[in-house]
Amino acid sequence: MANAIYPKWKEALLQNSADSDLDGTGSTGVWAALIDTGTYTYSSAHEFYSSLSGVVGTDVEVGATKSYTNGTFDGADVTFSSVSGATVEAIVLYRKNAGANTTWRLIAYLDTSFTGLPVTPNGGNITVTWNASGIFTL
Amino acid sequence: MAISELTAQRNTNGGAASTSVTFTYPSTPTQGNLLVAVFSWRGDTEVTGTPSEWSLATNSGNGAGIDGAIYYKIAGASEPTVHTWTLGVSNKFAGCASEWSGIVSASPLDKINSNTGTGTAGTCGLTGTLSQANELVVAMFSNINTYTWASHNNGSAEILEAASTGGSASTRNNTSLATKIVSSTASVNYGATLSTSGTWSSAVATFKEELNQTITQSSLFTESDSIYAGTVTPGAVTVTQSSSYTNSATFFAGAVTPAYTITQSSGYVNESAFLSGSVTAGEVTVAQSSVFANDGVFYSGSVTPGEVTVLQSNIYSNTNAFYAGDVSAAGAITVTQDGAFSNSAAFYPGVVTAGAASITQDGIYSNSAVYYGGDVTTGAVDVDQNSSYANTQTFYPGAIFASGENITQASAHENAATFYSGEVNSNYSLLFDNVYINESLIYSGNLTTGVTQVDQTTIYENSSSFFDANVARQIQAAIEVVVSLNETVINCIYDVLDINVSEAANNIRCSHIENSIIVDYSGDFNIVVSV
Repeated sequence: MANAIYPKWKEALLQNSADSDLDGTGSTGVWAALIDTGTYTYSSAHEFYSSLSGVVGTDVEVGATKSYTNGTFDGADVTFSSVSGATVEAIVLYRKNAGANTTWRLIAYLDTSFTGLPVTPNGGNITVTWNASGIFTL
Repeated sequence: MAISELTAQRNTNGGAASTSVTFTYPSTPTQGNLLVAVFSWRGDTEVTGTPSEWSLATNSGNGAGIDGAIYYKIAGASEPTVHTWTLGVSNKFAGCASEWSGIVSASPLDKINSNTGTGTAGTCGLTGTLSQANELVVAMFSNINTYTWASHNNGSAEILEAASTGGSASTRNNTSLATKIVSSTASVNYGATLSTSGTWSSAVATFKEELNQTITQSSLFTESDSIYAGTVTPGAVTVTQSSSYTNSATFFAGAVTPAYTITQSSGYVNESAFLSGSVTAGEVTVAQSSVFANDGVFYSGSVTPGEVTVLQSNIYSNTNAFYAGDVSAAGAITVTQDGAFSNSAAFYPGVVTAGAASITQDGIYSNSAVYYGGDVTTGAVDVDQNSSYANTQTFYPGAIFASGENITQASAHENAATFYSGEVNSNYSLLFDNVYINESLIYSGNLTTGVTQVDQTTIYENSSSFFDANVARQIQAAIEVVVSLNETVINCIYDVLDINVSEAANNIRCSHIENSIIVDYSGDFNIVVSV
């Protein structure tokens, strides 16, 4: 696969659909999930978190210091604590909300241009350092 | 994540004779932390019951009334605070427990050792080289009586010590827990001094630090520049790729139209995606089943040799060079091109212009259109030519079945060895438009002209054995038949028969057996002339 912005999120963004914005925090923030692509396969038709499988470890929020300059989304580096489980080949960003995960919009599928991927968890923390220029640009 | 002790979780227990050894953590241990319990007991019984998910690191004992053990566990969710071991026989016991963070949760135990002795100097024994630099070393010193341990050496420090209770001091035991966080892989051997000489037992275990892992995004993912997603639409778009292109889904799942140019400036490595998609350029569909390496433009560039397999299920249109690799159309054909392949029209079916290329066919070649010049090396391959065959170059052995059309050899066919060791079956005409030079080998093959003629439009130079061939039909020599070795003899025959040359040319059938020539004139009589 390769990096991709979920088309369904773009579709929602263009229509200002609920929970498509990325400027929330906490329960309405942008979160990151470690993905075992041996279990999950990207699909441009996937829209919500419930379509994901092979999530490894515990998801973490992309920090509150997010930015959106000129269409580039950036956020603080994230650390997944005490990760164990299957080998991780991808990171998925999604927009959480207070509802069920069947409404958490998938934003980006990232598996390319990362050093350290794939990573086999050793039980320790896994820190993801985003590129200095940002995570992705629309 | 650095190793750190949760000192508030320290706890000890020392009791009178019992079969239960219990440690109680002040608070619920944190999930993922390392729990360590070390204890000793009087007597030489064994531990018969272990709390859930605790593991024995090592034990020690000298058969002299003092045994000990080191147990550990990675705390789970909702970890209990109370943990109880069971001894096989009721004994006095004493031990210490602690909790540590920063230890790897998967297979935390690294090295172990144990020791026993009598005296005041106790040592645990060498651990051996540690598997990683940063580890927690846990050392247990236990002894008969209530003597205490001090002066832990080599940087280790006692964090807890406990003694059993009940009875006289000599019936009790004492346990010391010492630890150190090391930062090298060097083997360690920790010791301590017992306050009074006595029987002791010791053990050591090392636990690995949790090593952080990092994932670093090396470049910003720019959607607008990406060729990884979405359909590539027709038009004048140019995508210039400055690094390896790996995309399985979007790019190749879309259509690439003839007006679209992909310029790849570096290696193209995409085994799965490209092959699973289709590239549609006009009428073209190319399905690629192996690595595709292309450092240029696909439709206007080149396909590099060696690594490419193209399974072609439809017309292939490429105005530029196509280099070596397998091209399989409809599954039956493998064409290996060793040189430039210029094909401006259609491959299957259509015109193949090989130019300077060599095409080696390992399977049946089925083409209803015209095949143009170039070297064709067929090996043992059959070529089924359903249309005119025009080739100015060499055709190597194998059978040619020109069942539908003419085979036109547009220039000298200089292949004495191979062509004629094959079989030419033509239900139509074989047109040789130029001098046919082959004095020997045509007769080692089988020339079957089928229902029509072999038209020799220029001089046929076959001095010896043309008429010995298995030619079952009339041969019309438009100019003349020159049988050089027997010309004199034939002229003599003409004289004897008193017929003119033109009649002979049109009506005489000749053959020779050894030194005889058989002339069949008008089918009415035979004359045998001995030479």
